[in-house]
Amino acid sequence: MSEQRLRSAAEALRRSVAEVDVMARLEQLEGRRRRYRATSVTLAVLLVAAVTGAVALVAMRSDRQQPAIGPTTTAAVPVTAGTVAATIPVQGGPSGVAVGDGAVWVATSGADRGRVVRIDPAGNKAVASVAVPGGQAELAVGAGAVWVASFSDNSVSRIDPATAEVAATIPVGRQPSGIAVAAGSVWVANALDDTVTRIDPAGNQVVATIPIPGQGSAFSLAAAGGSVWVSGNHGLYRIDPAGNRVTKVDVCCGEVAAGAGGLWMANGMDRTVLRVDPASGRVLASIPVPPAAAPEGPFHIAAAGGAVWVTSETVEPRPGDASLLWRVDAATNRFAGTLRVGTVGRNHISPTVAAGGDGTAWVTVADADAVLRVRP
Amino acid sequence: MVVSEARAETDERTGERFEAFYVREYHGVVRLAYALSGSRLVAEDIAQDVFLRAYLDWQRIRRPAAWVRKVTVRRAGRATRRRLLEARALARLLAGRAPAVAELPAHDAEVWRAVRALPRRQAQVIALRYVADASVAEIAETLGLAEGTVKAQLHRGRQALAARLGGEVDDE
Repeated sequence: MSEQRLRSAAEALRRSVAEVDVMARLEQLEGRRRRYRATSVTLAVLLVAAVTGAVALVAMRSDRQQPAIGPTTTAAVPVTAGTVAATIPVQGGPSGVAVGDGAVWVATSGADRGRVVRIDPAGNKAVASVAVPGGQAELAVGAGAVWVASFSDNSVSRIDPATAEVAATIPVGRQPSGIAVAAGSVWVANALDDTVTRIDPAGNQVVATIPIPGQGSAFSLAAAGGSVWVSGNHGLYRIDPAGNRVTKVDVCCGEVAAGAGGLWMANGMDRTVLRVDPASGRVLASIPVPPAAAPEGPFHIAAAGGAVWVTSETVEPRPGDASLLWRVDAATNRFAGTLRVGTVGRNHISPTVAAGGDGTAWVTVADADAVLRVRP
Repeated sequence: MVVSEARAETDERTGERFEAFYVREYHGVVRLAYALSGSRLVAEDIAQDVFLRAYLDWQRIRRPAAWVRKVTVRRAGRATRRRLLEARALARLLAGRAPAVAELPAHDAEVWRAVRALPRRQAQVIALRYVADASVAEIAETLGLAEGTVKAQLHRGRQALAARLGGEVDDE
């Protein structure tokens, strides 16, 4: 039965791809190859200049396979991750969230101009809102400000938490998709450039642009144990803030978050949450999350107050597909439950999550134009 | 002209030109990428990235057909990669370009979704077996595994799929 379904599904795949114009694609590829060659020459020149300037650029190549850690399956126990304590309407497709400075900060994606909304956790209400450039955004709170990395605007906006106004907008690399505040700096992972931008919050100035080896190596970023951790397709890299030195750590692959006593990675490939020791960079635990039929992930991750929260991913959703929130108990390193937080529409935006110190999760559900407050 | 430049690049071992290789393999690679990424937008991005690498390294890649499959199944299964590709593909969509790959019927999409929910290795061998129509020996070579391992992964993958999709296990 499943054999037959596999064969007919393969046949359906054949039909759906059959109409793609191969010759047109070949021409596009030619164009890309020419541009790539031109860029490589420029890069080589820059590299020579850098080396003669006595700057050592370590280009590490890594295509290694991640050794399997622990079991990848677990009995599906229908336990709930928590209960929804409040549903807060936030218009415009909320797609990023952070907790800090006595408030919850939510970024909405909009068309090309997003907003950041301040939620007062005492009243579970949106109390202020400010326009920021660009679409989907990631946020971090620290150094006396809320920092918003705008995915499509290639910039970071600094918001004054008291007035909820944009105080500065700082250009960074392409597709900034990870941000954290640590060691007196703001750190931004630029997904398309494979770099990390270091910003000095005193002058809102870029003080360093740190290359991360490998293509697609800088998607996600977190600060733990005195280091900044950058995650991408090639695994985890550790930046020492003292000299911005980059070293490779043998853990792969997914978004990272710091909190709840450690560093955590949402490994969507193996459907696990990894607990990483921020001192040694070793994996302390590999925690399977139960397979769920529709959504994939874990994808986004947040940790605080003894709980680690991860959300499901929707690559190409159909209306009605479930969005899930999973919880891991940091005290026992065990999976603690699943909660359906909504459905996903055609906007392709997966739920995102931030963790509060009191053990609650704040979850954005873009399709419902809402932020959920979830208690374990 | 674009195409004549492509013709000049030949694989010395087989004498095959990149162009001919591309035309023969492109659809198959997009199918693999679609099955394992779940996104027709992302599938073509992965395929073009992989072929670009193959093109740039054409003289050094010994078995290009196996090589592009290997790199495609690795890339398509990577969640973080998908995130970037998803964003890129979306940006293109917003710019008015619709995906050329047609959407799968729900009944068939469900099958590939179940495959993607399998442990990574199982998903890879199932995709290579059914999408790329590869033999156990070919899958073993592509993924650098022992044939026994491929058989075991295929067996486990089929069992898990049967449990999820309903019906009994057909183990050839």
